[in-house]
Amino acid sequence: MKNIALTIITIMFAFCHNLSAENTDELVDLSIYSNVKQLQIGSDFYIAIKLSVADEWHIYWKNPGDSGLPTEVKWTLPKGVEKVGGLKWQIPERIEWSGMVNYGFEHDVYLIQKFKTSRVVDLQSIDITADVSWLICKEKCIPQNDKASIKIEVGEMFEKSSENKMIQDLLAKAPKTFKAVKSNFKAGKEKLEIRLLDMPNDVAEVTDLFVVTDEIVENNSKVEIKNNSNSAVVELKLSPYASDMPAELELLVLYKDKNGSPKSYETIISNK
Amino acid sequence: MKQLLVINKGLDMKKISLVLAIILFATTAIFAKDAAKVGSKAPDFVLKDKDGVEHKLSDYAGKYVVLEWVNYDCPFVKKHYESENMQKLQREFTKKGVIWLSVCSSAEGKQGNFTKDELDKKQKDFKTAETAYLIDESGEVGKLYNAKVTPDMAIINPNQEVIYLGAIDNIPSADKSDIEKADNYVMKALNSAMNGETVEVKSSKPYGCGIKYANK
Repeated sequence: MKNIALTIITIMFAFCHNLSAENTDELVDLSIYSNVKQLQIGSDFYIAIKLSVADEWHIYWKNPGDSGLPTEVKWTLPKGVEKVGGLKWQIPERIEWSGMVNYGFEHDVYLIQKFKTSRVVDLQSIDITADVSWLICKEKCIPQNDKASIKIEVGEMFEKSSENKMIQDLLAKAPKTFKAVKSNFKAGKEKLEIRLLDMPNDVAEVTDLFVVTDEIVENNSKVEIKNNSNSAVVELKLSPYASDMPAELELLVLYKDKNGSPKSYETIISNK
Repeated sequence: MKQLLVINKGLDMKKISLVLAIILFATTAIFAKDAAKVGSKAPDFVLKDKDGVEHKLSDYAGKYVVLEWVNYDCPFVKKHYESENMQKLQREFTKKGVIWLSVCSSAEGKQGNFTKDELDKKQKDFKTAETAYLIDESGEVGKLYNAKVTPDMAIINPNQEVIYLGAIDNIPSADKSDIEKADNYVMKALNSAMNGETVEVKSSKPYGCGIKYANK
């Protein structure tokens, strides 16, 4: 009797678990963190948004690839608070299926934004809301959005939050911004040649490259990399939609540093 | 004798090379059907519609043809059907003699692959106005036209040349309220071409749900 009861409970549990996994409202769990609990006016701070993605589903990077939509964040900020730079993304995964390639995340992902505060505005506390929209897909796709808010106290003392270490660790692993002056690209009839002529000092070997600018390269084409000393040439097949080549391309470059550790940088290169 | 053998060998090699060349040519002719490209001849195909009637693209020579990749359960397709944007285009242009072929490349058992009854109901509810709804379960025609998402659009002129490939409009979203603000590439391309003007935007990256092709 005990065994039967146990079996029924197990089946019911499995059934409910399955149901909850397919409950489309629970496919993404949104949370928001700051690296500070209290800050002084005039200082900078970070906000991290965590999207916990249900097993087997994925959401998209800023360039979604062959299908899908980029995940977007719209901020509601009090007067006196401004964004510094763009959203910091983690390195995406290539999600391949039926000959198509998407760039996205099949697991929890953090999006981080830096902010600055103005000394001119008198703030008692800072309330920030992130309105996040995403498309989540497995076989089917569902457009969703949600809001997450956070309050940061303003005071005499700067006080780190309990999430400060986590945010600093994520920032340390996130792609660095590198200002390339000499690197450039040339679009041929079918191929795009990217010449990385200046790179961060610690680059030992370029291992992968993502073109962030959408509609430029065939997403399922092989990334062919030729590493030379202090430079690299990357060849990719052009997308059939790349009719008008822009003057600048945004890239995410993955590399191994001189100790063999994986690192990455983001850069913008021109066609000159 | 030795010399003769050499000659024979030479002939054999020639024969083998010839056979190989023929095999290579034949296989190339079968498999290397070029994918659709703007400005090139539209690859021909034959597909059955939902009622089992065959449609051959080349039979529509002399007319403008729109190919629309569709999956009624995809939110991007729903955006254009629930707002009636797609049906309005279908009505407007089929009245002007355009052949509008909705193509479903969802494999059997995958999202978007409906039974005849399900299709009839969905099309009745949406009041769709296409010329025919074609079934491409193998995905061959979808791949021939490099269709990756739904909706994905192709326009073919009366000379059977591809004049447009890509998105329905310029705002990639699943939000119906964006339709009014968007530039409808399909409408613009058809109007320009039918008025003898140059098609300004000949291709664009389509946006939507990935097509549920058969796993191969």
